Amino acid sequence: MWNEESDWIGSFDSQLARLAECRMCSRDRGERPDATGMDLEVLEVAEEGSYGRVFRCLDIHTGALVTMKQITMVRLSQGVPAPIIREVSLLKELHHANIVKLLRVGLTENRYVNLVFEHLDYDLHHFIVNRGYPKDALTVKSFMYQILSAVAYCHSLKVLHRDLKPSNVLIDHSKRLIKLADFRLAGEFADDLLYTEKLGTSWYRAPEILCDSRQYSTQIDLWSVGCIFAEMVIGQPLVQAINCRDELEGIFKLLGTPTEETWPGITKLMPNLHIYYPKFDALGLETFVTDLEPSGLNLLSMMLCLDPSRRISAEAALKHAYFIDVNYVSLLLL
Amino acid sequence: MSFDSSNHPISPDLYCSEVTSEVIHLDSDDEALKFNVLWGDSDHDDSDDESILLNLLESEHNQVQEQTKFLGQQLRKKTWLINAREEAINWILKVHAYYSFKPETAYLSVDYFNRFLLSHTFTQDKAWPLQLLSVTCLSLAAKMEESKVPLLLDLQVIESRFLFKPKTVQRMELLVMASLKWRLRTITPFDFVHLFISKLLCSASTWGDLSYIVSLVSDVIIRTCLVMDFLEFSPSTIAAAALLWVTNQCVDDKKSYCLHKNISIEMVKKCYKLMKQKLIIRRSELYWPKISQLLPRSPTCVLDHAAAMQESSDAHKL
Repeated sequence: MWNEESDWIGSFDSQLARLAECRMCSRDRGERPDATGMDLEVLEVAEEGSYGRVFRCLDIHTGALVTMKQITMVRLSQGVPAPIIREVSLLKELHHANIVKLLRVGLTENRYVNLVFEHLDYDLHHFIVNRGYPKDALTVKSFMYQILSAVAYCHSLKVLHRDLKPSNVLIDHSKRLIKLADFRLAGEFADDLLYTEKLGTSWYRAPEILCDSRQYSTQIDLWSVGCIFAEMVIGQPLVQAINCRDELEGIFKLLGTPTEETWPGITKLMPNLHIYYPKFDALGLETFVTDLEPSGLNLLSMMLCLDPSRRISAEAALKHAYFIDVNYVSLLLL
Repeated sequence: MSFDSSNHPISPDLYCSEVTSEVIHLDSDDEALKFNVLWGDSDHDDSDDESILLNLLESEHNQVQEQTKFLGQQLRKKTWLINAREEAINWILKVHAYYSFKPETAYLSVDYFNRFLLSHTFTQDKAWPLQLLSVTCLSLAAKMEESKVPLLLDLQVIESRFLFKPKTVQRMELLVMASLKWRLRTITPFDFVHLFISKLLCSASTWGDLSYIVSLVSDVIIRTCLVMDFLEFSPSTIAAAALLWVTNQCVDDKKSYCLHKNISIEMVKKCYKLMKQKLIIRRSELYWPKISQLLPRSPTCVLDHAAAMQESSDAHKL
């Protein structure tokens, strides 16, 4: 009996030992971790975040560049943090050309979870800021089509991304290929109070969330995509282009302060609306988003629609006239 | 334990069930789980629901192939494990009810539990490994599905024979996730219920209370977790059979219909028949025990209980 118990415990510990085989030690900020146990050579620290750090690495076996996200596990009373579990589990099931690939998951000292992703050259934020926004109208259209394809796929699996913004849109430069990344906040359609306060970067946040609605759905991602669309065209965040004290005021100046007629349910959702916000007349998208062809502006207006129930879906957006000249074959071959 | 009620003399209730079973002659292809390339299928409509359903079925197909397909066969070789598994699942369902978790959380907990059993062996005379596995699977499912997740110690308040330290549970969490290849986002029958209801109903007004139907279907689905024989059925099949079971008890509707051409009608019939046979499925009252029966009598009792369990768990320090 004792031996059997010992065997089980031994088996349990040996499996954990294999999981924690990686000998990475990095308690000092900035010190390069030893990724030998994960067959990776760390090249540089790419990013520091509240959740952990991101490293650019070389895969020792394939010679390929990869990105490793190292997430610190704290608060032992809760076990492995839910956001880690959710992100990994979701990425394991999302198989789409326009969604970043999670190559493998490793552990270090039962303290870090290491997520190894395929590497892409840069993100859309850097593309806009450093290389000049894509003035080429065809590039904008191609990028938009790929983003919407990925979003439509997620929504068909009942997954909301919830944090779409240029820095979460990765670009393979040579192929002009787009991949969505960072699914930490992603989840199924649900009233997820736990993450509401962290939900999305404010510039790309849908008005129903800014109004503190707890009832939101796929439409929040479409609003974010609309903001990305506008930003690619004008070279800066759309809300930043408007003189306003907060994002909601900027939206209302742009599209007009909502009424029960333009957004049914708004007076219940935000009873004090007219106390906090004047009644703005719409300046109109065309005032700020110049140099976009009429069908593009039409599609943008359907994404940046105040009323979530009237906002276009990703599936429908892909069929919009704006994309009529997108070369499907070349997209599929990417 | 469940037993087959089909040997009983024919009764009015059973007769009604026999009659309703005739309704399940769905006019459709009998091809099992035929999948169409989304763009290549010129027959299907362009509705978002159709797209969602196709993607769900494809994901389900991918998952089922490497998951619980053979668990039922393996379990039958170990009688003691059948009983231990049922006891563990009952524990999961009690904690699930205590915290009013979603139905999905219960189903996922059992799914992780089953999948882990496939890849690991347990010795018969030790109870604590299965208890640790139960706590771990419930914790992981709650983290996947719930907005608020209780602390690891709080999950073990109800009828736990052992009390595991958070550190121990975390290590087990990592082991389970690695064993399941971090694939915790499992397709469940609940993913299909609303889609099937929208296909089944001519109009919402024909049903008195849609949420009540969903509640009954959810209850049936969770009960299937307790019966090992349901392991051979895919989540979409269980969802379809559970919905037909619930609605045919409520309404005598002989109209033929097809939920989806990619779902095997034969498997749905077989699953439905199993639901008829298993008493656990046919019980009329909802499964959940009354919450008041599970509430601790006082905080002091909780502390005493925890202290007693702590002594037990010390003996099993890893």
